[in-house]
Amino acid sequence: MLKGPFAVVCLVVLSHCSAQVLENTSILHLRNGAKYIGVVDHRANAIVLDGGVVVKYDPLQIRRLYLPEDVIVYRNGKFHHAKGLYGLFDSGFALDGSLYSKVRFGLGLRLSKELSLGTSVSFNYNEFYTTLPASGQNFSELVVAANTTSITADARYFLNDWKVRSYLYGSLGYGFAVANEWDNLETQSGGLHAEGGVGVQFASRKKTRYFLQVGQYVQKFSGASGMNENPLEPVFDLEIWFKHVGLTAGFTFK
Amino acid sequence: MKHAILSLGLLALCATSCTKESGTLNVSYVRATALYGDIEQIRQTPLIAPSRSIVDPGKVFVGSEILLVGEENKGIHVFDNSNPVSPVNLLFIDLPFTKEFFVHNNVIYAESHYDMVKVDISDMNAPSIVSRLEFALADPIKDDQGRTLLGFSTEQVTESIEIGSEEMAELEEDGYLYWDFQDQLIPHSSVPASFAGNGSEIGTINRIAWAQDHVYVIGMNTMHVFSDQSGMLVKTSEHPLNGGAETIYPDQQQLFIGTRTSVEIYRTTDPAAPEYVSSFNHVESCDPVYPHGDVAYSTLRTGDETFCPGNENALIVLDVSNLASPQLLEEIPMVSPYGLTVDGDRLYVGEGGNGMRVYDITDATDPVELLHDATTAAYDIIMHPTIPHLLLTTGPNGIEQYEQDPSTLSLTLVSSILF
Repeated sequence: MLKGPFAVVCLVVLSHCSAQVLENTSILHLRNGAKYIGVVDHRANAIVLDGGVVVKYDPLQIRRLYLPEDVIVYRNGKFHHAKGLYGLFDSGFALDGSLYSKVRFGLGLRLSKELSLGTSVSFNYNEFYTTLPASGQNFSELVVAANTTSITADARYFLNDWKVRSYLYGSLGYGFAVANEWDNLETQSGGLHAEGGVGVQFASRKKTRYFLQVGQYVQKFSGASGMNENPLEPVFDLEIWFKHVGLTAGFTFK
Repeated sequence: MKHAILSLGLLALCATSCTKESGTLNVSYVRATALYGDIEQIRQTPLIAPSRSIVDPGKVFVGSEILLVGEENKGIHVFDNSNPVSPVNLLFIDLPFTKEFFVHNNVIYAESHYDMVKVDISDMNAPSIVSRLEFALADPIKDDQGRTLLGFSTEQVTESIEIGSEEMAELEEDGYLYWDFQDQLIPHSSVPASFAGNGSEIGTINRIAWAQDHVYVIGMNTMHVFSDQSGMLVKTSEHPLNGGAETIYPDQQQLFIGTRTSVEIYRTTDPAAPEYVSSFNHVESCDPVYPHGDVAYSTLRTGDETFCPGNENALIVLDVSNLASPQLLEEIPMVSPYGLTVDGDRLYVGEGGNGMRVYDITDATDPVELLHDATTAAYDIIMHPTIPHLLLTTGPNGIEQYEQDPSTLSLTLVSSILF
């Protein structure tokens, strides 16, 4: 019997039981604003719509044409891109109540209908709080407010061609620590940044595609307080692995 | 679609076990270990003990013939100062845990851990307790054996703690106990030795003050008010204070309270229940306040990282003619100002190891420096209550008594009680 995340991934895959992909379907946008979905006959400068209606067009009036190898089209006109470069923006937070947030900008390439690779820069905030052992009159709390800027290599592997495409994703890279005045640390350094999980991406009639993903986030962070002038204040150094299950929402464009 | 969202939700739920931070925290700190004991047994400690050397001086009171020197957490040394040339160490008043005291009409009002105590010193050779209000300052904290928390022993330790471990949680609990305890009781003064008063003048670095038949005691965050009308102390009210309260100075029907970030003014129209009037905020610092007519002088001292972090040192002059809205009139830069006192039209400010400054306050709103005596190290200064021109200082080396030339302000050392 499957357990844990694997079982859930399988559940995601099995839950899509009504595929609507139209084989060999192209999308034609004309300069006059008209849009047609059907099978293109290039020699006849015509597109055969669902139901057999043939629409002739002037090749000089084509604004945009998505061919079957570039897109996955659905009956309502929504589609997914299957190839090409794309930009990405997303933002996320922790589902477990931890103080974690992120904003990410990325660039990727759809190598195939299933696999995309890319790279991204993300700005992450993690907070670790504890009360240090009693030491003096002024100092009892330790707040590590860890800002990191991460550069990661990203991959997404799509599990199906449905209108809501499920995928597995992973990111691996390095998070650079960024000093801030609230973290009680004199020195800090970052470390491994890794993410992985599952997501869904929604088909759209436009260039942007929204997605939601849930996954595990890991960031290594270390720092030290340095020497305090006040002998009652503790001196410390620490190494933390921030771990969260986070929810991320974002969009890709073209 | 519904299935997809449901699935993502399930994934989030099942994966929350991977959300605990992990790692290691290496920390060097002063570990406080709770000490419990029998508070009743401590209260039975005989009051009078043989005289002993001063080790850790605290509050100092100058009477016409008596000199009292607090021994931090131990009690009070009694000196016969009828001849200031050679004060005699008479005896020791054994008041465990006492750090702060105030003297009014031959009665010492002292805090003793959880309690407030009145000690009659009309016969300096035979002081006696006339009243003790038990648990006046805080409810006792007890362990599971019923013993009372008496304090903490401290030691410097270095530990490696696993983040998220039970050990860390236990340390946090101990920390809270320490802070709770520290917050409730009277903390150490930020000044090593300072004057409680001289019978007519009041010192500026007091945590206890007597006014209008009431005793006011300020802890870290609380002002405790006791009625002294019946001869027995009775607690009448308790007031939360801006954090880091340090000094209290009663003046007519007002209380001036110095905290690390403000001067707070309370009205004592009803002395049993002081009423907050206003506050003047300033940078974080140690700051005794001396009200003087329509102005108040306050020293802001920083640089002592243990108690007074920061880098601003100054004497400030506040216009308090409108108590509801104190205004800053002047800020005079200083090096390390501690206590201050006024004698006639002279304002004396102790600068610790950096000496003493004297200002002409004929115009109270505009002090003019007359003298910087860099050789007389002074944490605090006060005039003898009955002997003219006899000035006393507390400094790094001890209590010193000087005869002052009123025209040149020069000082001639009369005697010293060395620490």
